[in-house]
Amino acid sequence: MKRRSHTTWVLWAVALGWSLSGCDCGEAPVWEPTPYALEIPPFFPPMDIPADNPLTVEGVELGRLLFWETRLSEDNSMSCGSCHLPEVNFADPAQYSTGVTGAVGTRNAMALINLGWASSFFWDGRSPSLEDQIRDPVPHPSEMNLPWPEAVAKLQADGTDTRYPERFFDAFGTTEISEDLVVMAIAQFVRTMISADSKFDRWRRGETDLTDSEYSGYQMFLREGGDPEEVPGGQFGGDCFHCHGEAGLQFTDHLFHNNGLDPSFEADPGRASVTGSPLDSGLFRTPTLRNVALSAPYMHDGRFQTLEEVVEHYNSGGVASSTIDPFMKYTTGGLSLAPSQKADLLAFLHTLTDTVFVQNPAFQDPH
Amino acid sequence: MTFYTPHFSAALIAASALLLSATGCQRESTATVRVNCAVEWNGEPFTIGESGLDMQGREAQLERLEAYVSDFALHDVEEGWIDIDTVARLDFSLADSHALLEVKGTGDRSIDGIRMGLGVPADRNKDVDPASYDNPDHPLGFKGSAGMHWGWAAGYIFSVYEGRLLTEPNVPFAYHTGNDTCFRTVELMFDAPRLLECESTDLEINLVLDAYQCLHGDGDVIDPELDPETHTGNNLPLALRWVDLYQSAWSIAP
Repeated sequence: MKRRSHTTWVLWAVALGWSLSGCDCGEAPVWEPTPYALEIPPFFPPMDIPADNPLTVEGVELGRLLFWETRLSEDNSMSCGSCHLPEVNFADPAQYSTGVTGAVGTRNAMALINLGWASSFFWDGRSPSLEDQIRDPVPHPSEMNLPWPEAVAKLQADGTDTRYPERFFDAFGTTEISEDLVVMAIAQFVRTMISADSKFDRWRRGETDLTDSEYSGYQMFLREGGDPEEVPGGQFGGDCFHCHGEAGLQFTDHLFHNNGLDPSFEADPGRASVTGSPLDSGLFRTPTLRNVALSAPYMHDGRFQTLEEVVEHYNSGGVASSTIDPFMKYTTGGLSLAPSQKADLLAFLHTLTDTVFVQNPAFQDPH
Repeated sequence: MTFYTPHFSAALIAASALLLSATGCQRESTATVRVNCAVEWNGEPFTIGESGLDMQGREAQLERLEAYVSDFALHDVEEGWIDIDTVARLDFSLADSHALLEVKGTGDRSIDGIRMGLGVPADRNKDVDPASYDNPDHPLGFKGSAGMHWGWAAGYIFSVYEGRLLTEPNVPFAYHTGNDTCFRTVELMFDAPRLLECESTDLEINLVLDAYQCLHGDGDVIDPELDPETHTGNNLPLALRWVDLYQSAWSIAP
């Protein structure tokens, strides 16, 4: 009888081991994200989506979970949605938001609406991209107060049904969670938060009519301000369109203005804190007027509780300062609007309310 | 079997190269000209945000100066005016405010003048929504025109000249022009022709806008205290006065 050689036994053992281990591993998971079909509403511009963060179904879904994830805060009590509540246009009804430590912010939380078309973020525009903006609140001591490495570690160790590592793989092709991927996912979600179903939108699409008061208010919105006896070319209008322009139906010029709130700017230098230029003192980003009726309180410091107060501020012409915008009519008696004109203007502003947007199930807390 | 000897092949290649070289600039090609636009105040270098003295000795602080320029043409000594389809947005607060002109044609050119439209051409102005541009960053697109568009029915703002007299209290002024009636053309001829080489990208034309002259001209002076504001539609006479001064305020840098 011929004995098997030692080499043959070794080969058999290797082959057996390979075979067994091959069966255990199975096929490597395949990353196949699904492109998200973003619908751009009529009259809206194309959205400028970063090439390195295209929208995917998986990314948007993950972003929504993260937007509402309280584990991104120090004591697991706050999410992005804690200060950006759906019913108030994804803003905060409080003048200043309170963070997990009880610290209070210094500016009113901005509404999250149509930010896919914004070109700068925060009231002072210090963030040039949505991704950059989203980095800020998680570690901010007055907000969620959780260093990013700790936030990432919490998600990485997730043993709940949320299965974050798997979801990150589905969205980005890796189970290794990082700060970059978290902000990318949330940015994807926020870009889907599009409001385009207000009464004004439907009127613009020819689907409904405005009332006489609403239409008159729209014309007020578009007319130059001031008493022509006092302001050359004044048209007794609201003079709103200069800064809240309707290009692309966004109702903002995406620029920075001093709308005459204060005589000096020690409390908050606004845009100047970013640029260092004294010419930018007291300038703040123009917010959109979409859903403005739901977005109280108003201004960067939430000083006005009602739209009536806001209209009255512009009607007065504001307070003189070194950088007050030329559009403010503070030297010439303000807008001089009659009570009925103010009522019409308010009626128009209410046509920008989009309850479909704030009630959209796709934007609510999924946890 | 071959018909070509090594010597014959070399000669053929050399002849082809010579022919290619000789005809290189005879085919349709594009040269790029950079038109740099700087701002001055009464003939002196100026930065937006600074103040300069006006005719009455008051400090005028200029805070924003932006404009659309379009409908360019370069004057070829032999061919005459060559139209160039370009719209650019100039922001004089930036160090490198400029327009790029792509000049198509064959061969080198001798250029001795430039023509420039001040504003947005009528066919691209009213009833054109910036949102309709596929590229949001196009100068007339949604992002590219931010702060330079009144609304889809009113069109683009051709020029923005904003600031304030630093008096007590200060007097803000804002001259915003638009509308086809405010479109102007400026034509500037060089002292001597300049060579625009075929396919070149290094020819630069340096223009200067004197912001002082935008308020002070030979036949008209705008006093911001008396005439602080026009948005064209609400004060067309003042807008027309301003664009006429603005037109005369351009020159070629020495």
